[in-house]
Amino acid sequence: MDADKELIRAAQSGDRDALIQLLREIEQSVYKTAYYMLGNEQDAMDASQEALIRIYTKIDTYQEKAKFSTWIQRIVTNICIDRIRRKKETLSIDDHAWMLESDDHVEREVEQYDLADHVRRAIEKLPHNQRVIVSLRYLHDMSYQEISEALDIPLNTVKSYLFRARMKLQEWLHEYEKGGVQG
Amino acid sequence: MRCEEVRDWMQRDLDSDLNDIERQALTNHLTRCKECAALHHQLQKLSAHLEQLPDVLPSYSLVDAVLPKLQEIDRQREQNRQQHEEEKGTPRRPPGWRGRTFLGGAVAAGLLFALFMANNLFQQGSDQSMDQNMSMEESAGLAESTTLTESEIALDVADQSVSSNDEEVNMMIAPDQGKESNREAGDTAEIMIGTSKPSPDGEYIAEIASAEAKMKLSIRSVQGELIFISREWPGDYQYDLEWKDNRTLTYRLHGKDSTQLWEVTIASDGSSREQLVMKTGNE
Repeated sequence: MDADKELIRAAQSGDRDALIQLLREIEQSVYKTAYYMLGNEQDAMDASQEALIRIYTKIDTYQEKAKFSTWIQRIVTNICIDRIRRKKETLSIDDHAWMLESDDHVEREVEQYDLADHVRRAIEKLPHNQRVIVSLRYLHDMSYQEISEALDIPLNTVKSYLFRARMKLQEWLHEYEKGGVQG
Repeated sequence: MRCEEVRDWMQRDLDSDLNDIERQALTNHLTRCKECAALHHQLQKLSAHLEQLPDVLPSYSLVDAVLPKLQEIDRQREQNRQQHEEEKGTPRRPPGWRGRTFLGGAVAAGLLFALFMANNLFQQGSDQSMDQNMSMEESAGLAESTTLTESEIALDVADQSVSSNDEEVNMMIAPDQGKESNREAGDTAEIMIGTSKPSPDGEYIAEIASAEAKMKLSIRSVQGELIFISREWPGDYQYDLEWKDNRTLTYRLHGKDSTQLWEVTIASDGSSREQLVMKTGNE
């Protein structure tokens, strides 16, 4: 769902109240992306606030040829990726190591989470360039084309990353289910 | 159809990207190939889980939380605009002394503060952050292709701007401190804005502000966001500033019987760090 065009235009023409209202309309969507990208509430709150400020200051650069939702997701994903990079996390996890881990001592810990949590945690384990695409596809129901525009990457790259991510998630999920039966 | 090809189609099927003929071909294959059918089932199940990811909501209103920062941004923009107008009406100053300005004491504090900013800060910069950043290479991954632009850096320090501006405004208002020799005609009182020195790439501006026999250094991005603010030092100290590179500024303070050399480093995330490099004599 895209924000009201009239509201966006008003915000762009300097109507501060309209801009604030616009921010209120998008804040949940921004937060959702940040939460799934960063995996915890505090970082998600910080990144979302940063995104809202940036949207506030950059609203005049938005052009209607793009969907507004695509534009804001571009901003928030940029911020999240930047934060991930700054944190110097291990971004890409070795599949094999992950599987061994979940087969072994982490199993008990895993059991404490329900399936939805497990899926979310599995998403967090994806390399961030796959995670961002999964987030846009499933949290915001974006098409390949929209993701391609939001991230400014070729459409085939979108597909390739998404497909790879799903294959990996599917394997993890399968492992989890097997573990669940055993547990 | 080869199984490998079918896997792609399975995935596209999850995204409703297959036409009727393709979907039929996929279905035909799945009825014949057990392995692909099992994978298809798994992927569908996964996709269903992903479709139902729990909604998450911020625990408080994020917009309310950033309102003070937004107000601050508005205030800075207004100040920049006023400053720009002010400067259009005054003669050009030599380069390197862009921030040197004297003003009548009756002017509103907001405007006084504006003078603290270097020229042309009203520019919000080009919107690079929207146009670059995200080109992904299969091999390099996303991280390597993203770059932090200065406008982003500037936004990162919005916190600091909020907390420090009032203090700065107060410091700038020093109507009784009238000892500057090159006072401009017509001024009844003055606010002294000292040296201003842009970084080599012009992205940051270091400025010395002086009031009430105290001085301090601040660094702003070209967009006007506060990056760094130093401790105050006595106004009779001599000082010099030098940009070692685009992100490192050193400043030396010479007191009556002491010298300090400080180094301020601006990190790529827009945060700043100050370090005492050298100190001689007593405080």
